[in-house]
Amino acid sequence: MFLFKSAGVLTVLTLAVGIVTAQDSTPRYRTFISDTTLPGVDTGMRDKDAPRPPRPNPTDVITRASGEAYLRGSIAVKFRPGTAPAAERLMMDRVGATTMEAPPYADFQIVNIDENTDPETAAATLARQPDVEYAQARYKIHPMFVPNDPLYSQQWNFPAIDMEHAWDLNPGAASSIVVAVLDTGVAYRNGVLRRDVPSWRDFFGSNLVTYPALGTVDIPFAAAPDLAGPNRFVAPRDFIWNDTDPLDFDGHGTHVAGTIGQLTNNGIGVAGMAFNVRIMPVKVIDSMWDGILGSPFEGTDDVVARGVRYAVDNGAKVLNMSIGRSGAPSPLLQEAIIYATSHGAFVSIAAGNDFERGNPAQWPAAYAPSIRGAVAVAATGRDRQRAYYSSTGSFVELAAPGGNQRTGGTTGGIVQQTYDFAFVDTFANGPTRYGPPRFDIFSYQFLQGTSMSTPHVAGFAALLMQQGITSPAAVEAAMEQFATDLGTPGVDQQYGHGLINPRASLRGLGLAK
Amino acid sequence: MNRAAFAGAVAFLLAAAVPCRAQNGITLRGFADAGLTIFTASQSFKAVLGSPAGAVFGGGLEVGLRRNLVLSVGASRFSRTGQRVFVFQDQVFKLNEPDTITVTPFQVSAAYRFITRPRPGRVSRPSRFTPYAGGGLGWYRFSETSAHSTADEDEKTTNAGYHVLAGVETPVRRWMAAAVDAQWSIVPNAFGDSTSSLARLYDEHDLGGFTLSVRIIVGQ
Repeated sequence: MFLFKSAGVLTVLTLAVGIVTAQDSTPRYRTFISDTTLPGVDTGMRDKDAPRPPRPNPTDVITRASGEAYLRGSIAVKFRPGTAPAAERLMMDRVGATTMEAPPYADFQIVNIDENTDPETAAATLARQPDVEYAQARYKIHPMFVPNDPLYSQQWNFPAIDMEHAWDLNPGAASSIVVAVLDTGVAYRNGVLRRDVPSWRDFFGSNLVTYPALGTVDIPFAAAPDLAGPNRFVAPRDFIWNDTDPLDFDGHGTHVAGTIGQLTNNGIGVAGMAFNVRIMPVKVIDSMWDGILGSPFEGTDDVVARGVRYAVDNGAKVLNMSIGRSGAPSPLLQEAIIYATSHGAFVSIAAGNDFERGNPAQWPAAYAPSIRGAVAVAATGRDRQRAYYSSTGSFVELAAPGGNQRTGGTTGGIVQQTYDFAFVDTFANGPTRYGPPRFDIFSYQFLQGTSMSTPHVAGFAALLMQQGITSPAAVEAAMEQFATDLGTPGVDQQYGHGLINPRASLRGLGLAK
Repeated sequence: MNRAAFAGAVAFLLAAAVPCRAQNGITLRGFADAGLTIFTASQSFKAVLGSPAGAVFGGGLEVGLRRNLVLSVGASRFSRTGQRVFVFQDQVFKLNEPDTITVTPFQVSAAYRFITRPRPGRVSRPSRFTPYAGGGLGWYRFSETSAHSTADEDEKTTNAGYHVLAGVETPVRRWMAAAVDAQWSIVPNAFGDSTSSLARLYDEHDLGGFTLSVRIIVGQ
């Protein structure tokens, strides 16, 4: 879960903007000096980095089951060249074969045998004959979509919820499904932004530190190479800068968007849950660089609520909210989420990362149980146990992989492509090594948090909607009915209904089984 | 049993039906029938297949005994493909996952033919219509398979059941008769144990139903 307000209290010494009374009437706060840059740079996997803690809140496999894996009533046989038909007939008689046929585009024959004859035994009998090159049962080949993305092997989170079999049923949803990512923005486009970077003070640590002004700098952006594609993004909107360029100044939103819809089976990087959907980047959360660069708005309840309504009004069918806070309830957020679900959009909300910080109630997650079509999502690690940080409470409805780097090390997190943080968090090592950021250099980062579990559920919802469950309330019911129960039997405060089971939900109910 | 094998079996039974002249003795006839079954588990069938009813085709042999008794053995087949579903608040969501249901009953029946005979001393033509009624036992093979199911997710069971039947037969040719046959079958506890079962959701466990069919009988 990300913070509504970025960590630390940021004081911008030079206020670049005045008081804004109406966002829609304000001018643009920034202008690209170029719409083109070189493609984003990929610096590769960051699996040796120290684990990054989940975002704090300062105030607050599967193998096919045993059974008959082959067709009954026939086997495949290849006789050696030159075998006389009479000899073939004789061999067929040994297994009680009735007829034989040669299918097109095959150099073998299909021999029909009695339904009650075991095909493997019959094939073995024939294979022992000198004139038979080979004979085998007609084993069923099941599609089992395993993405060819080279770093897929690092994504333990997808096998953990049987996604490979789920993708057999629904390979990545479709572009007709729009998933809104309400977050810090998304690395969805290229460009260069020219900004004056003033000096600022950081109160975050125990010492007050002043960071120097950087003057006027050109900040490059690039679309995440493993996320962007033709017609991939729809109706982008930035409620922090009040424009239509929801650039990600942090990397959180880009990582989240990757779990939802990273391009998959493209031979690059990693995979995503619903890799055919279109992404709607809606920036409702400000990060450090937004503050440093003087964004006119911050990620408050009202901004988020507006983002929710914007997403719904512009066609989003699924909303991902890897965001939240503790403290007082927020009726406007509650109403915004009700607005979303009542207009046909499913909402996935992070349950929070504050279990070890007093485990306070989280908003808007705590509203989810009372709103059908909105779910609060807890996080599990590779061991399918609740992650140490994952908030608990009666509001938790489902669990999904969010990573647990305390028990699993760096690679125990959820890997996705996002910025190379060494080029973004230039303030992290103090004023002396501080410099302008670059948002065009990418790497594959392992992150943990309910921020990471939430997009699994959002992607799952997109799959269900494309599969035919069009009502948000029914989507939630399908998720909960087929969830894998973890922890205390039944619904509990750690996992809710349990770990999501996309294949079972997508498969639904049959008449008997 | 695949479709070709089934059709072959029916053809064999018809061909094997030899006309027997001794009407007062044992007769052997073959029959083929086509009809419509409305399943008792109507909600479950309707959710998956879009209708609680469907066409059935079958055939068999019957042996006429003394005292107007008829014994018959027959098989029929219902097979149809629908979609797996999810049900929420009585709304059925089709999941675009093909689901094929096949029901193959094998039945043994006994029936009494109500043959009207001229009363002594009265001259009247015998009725062209011969009603009959009876009942019997059956074994009902049920299978369900879907496009992406694993072996243990497919359902293949055989369940015992019983049925009552009634119908009317009328001669068409010297060697051929036609009948309209109505049958009510009960196959208790055939399905509904699985958590992914509509039958469980709707509390429908009976594989039987009502079948109305037209029968062509060859033999004398």
